[in-house]
Amino acid sequence: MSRPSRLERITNLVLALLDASRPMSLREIGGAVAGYPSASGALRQAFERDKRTLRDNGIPISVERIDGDDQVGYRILPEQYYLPELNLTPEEEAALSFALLAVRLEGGAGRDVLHKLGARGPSDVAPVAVLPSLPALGLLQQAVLDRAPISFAYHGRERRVDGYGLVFRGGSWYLVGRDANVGGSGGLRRFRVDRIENIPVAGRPGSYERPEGFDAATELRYVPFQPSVSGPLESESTEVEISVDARAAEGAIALVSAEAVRGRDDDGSVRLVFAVGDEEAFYSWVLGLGDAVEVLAPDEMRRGVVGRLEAEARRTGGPK
Amino acid sequence: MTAGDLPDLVDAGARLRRLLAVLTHLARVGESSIGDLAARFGYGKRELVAELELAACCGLPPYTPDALLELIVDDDRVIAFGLDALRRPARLTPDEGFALAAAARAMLAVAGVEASGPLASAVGKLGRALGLERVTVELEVPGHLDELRQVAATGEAIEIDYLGAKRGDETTRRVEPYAVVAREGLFYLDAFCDLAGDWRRFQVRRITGVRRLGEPVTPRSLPAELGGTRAFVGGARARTAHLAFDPSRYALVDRLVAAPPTSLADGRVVAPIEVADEYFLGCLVLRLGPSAEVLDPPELAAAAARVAHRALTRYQAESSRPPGDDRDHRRRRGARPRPGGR
Repeated sequence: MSRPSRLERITNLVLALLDASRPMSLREIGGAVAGYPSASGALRQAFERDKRTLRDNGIPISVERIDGDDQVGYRILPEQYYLPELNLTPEEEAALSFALLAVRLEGGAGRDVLHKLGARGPSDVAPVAVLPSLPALGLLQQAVLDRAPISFAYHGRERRVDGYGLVFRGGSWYLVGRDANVGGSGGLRRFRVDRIENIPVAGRPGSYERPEGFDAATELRYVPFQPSVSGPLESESTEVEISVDARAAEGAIALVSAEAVRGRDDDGSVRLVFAVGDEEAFYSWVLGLGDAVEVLAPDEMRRGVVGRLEAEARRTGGPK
Repeated sequence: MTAGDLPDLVDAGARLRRLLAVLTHLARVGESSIGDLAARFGYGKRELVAELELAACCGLPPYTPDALLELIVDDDRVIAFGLDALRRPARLTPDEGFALAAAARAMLAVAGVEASGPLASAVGKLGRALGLERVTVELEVPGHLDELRQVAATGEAIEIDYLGAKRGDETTRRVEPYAVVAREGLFYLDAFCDLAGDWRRFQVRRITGVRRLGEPVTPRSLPAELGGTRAFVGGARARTAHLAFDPSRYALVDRLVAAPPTSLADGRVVAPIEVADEYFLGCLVLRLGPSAEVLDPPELAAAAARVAHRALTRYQAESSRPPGDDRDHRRRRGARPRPGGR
């Protein structure tokens, strides 16, 4: 047989290191595991490459100090290799398989999980939801789980965030956590994951505690149209009342919260009352709803909307 | 050429993961048909046989026959002995853990889908081990979702009341439902619409009434463009419009732009946006503020003005404000604290 392929070599490496009761030195690995070159420089290069491949595929090689000339030894610790016993019932396994097949995570690793769990779902499952996946999400979730601070660039600034959770809302993934570079003790912030500008880097695991009972989804439920973060802390806000047609009502309620609902009419339209701090953001939103919305109060903001609509109608001439 | 001879061009790590998953499965079941195994793990049959033959050459030093993985492979079946070290699956990679969490959470978010069934209990068991509780998926569940999912599954024609994009667009249509899928966070019904004589994608939150007609749908295959990942499908009506606007507003449209924006001398940026509906485009321009405009096509240049005229009629006509209501705006000091940044 010719020289074993790389797949064969790394398969042999996994089997040997998993079987090792004590760490193996590089020389031992080169001498025993099939497929490694004998020259020491080439051996080290090949092994380092394989070690990286295994780590990238979720198989960490433990590096330990050993006696003797080589000083460093390697093995795969069973507790780091094996999936913890999950004790799923066949029904639970089937339900998970179905979820993995019905929720299409674009470019995600759902199929790989099915393979790993050895589950075979029904062959033809209609999709229930399509979710965007992003390369950073796996890393971010692992960092949140490990309580490892995450560094990344966002809106042109370097952030260092203690991640508390990931939330999918309104078509986007958000990371919620404490940004160490805000204020004295850090500030709770949310980051749209698709706007992270580089590959995030996770720091040391166990570096922070997640606040007791923290719920990322609740924290994310921000109050819209508030003054910008950079604005004065104490700023004015105005209570507005709007009427939204049925076709846009659900989206509006989702934005300003169900607490804002003051009434519903027979035609499905809703009246909403809520506070607005950032008036320009409010006008932008209202204008974007076209004829599905009417600002009822205050008069000043009602006139503000009318003035903007009239300006637009004049600017481009409008219908002939 | 066998899979074992494939150069490193094929990701050896991905191949290893899948091969280890196959071996774990074989360690548990002992014996399998090649066909079943290939389907379960997404291989072609010949490809799988080649990978198994490669695995049969792997094992522990010194690679004497008794130290190799015991696999007996022929064209139809594979029999495995031992493989004790591989009986338990490998840990999930971060990407796999995330995929599992997202899928399970999304499924639980869809009300009526096993809200208290085995999925919920499975998620409970996985929670501590895999950190599923750190991932939340929110999907708005509109009122008619369950019923629409049912008729799409059974293939029954229905009549729906649908609120269109703008006032006066309300319609009642006979449609043949094929799929109900959440895309970009919202549920859509893909159906063949009798009124349009074509396929249409309906926002489920705008469907206000569903009546079952007791008729089966005509067998048709869903057009490829409806199977894609995007929520927007313009069909024959889709056009590309070029919008100029202030770059500070870019975040409002970044999900809609088809190509990276370019800069104009006056400080604005231009981005191409695919649109099927003039009203939608007009609303978008209004949202982007006074510096926004449609550069082309020329027939869409007045889209925003037309929407503005429509909206103004609401303010000029009888307002929905109660008569004599002259309540003044109430100014308050101190906004509620902002829980998060943008």
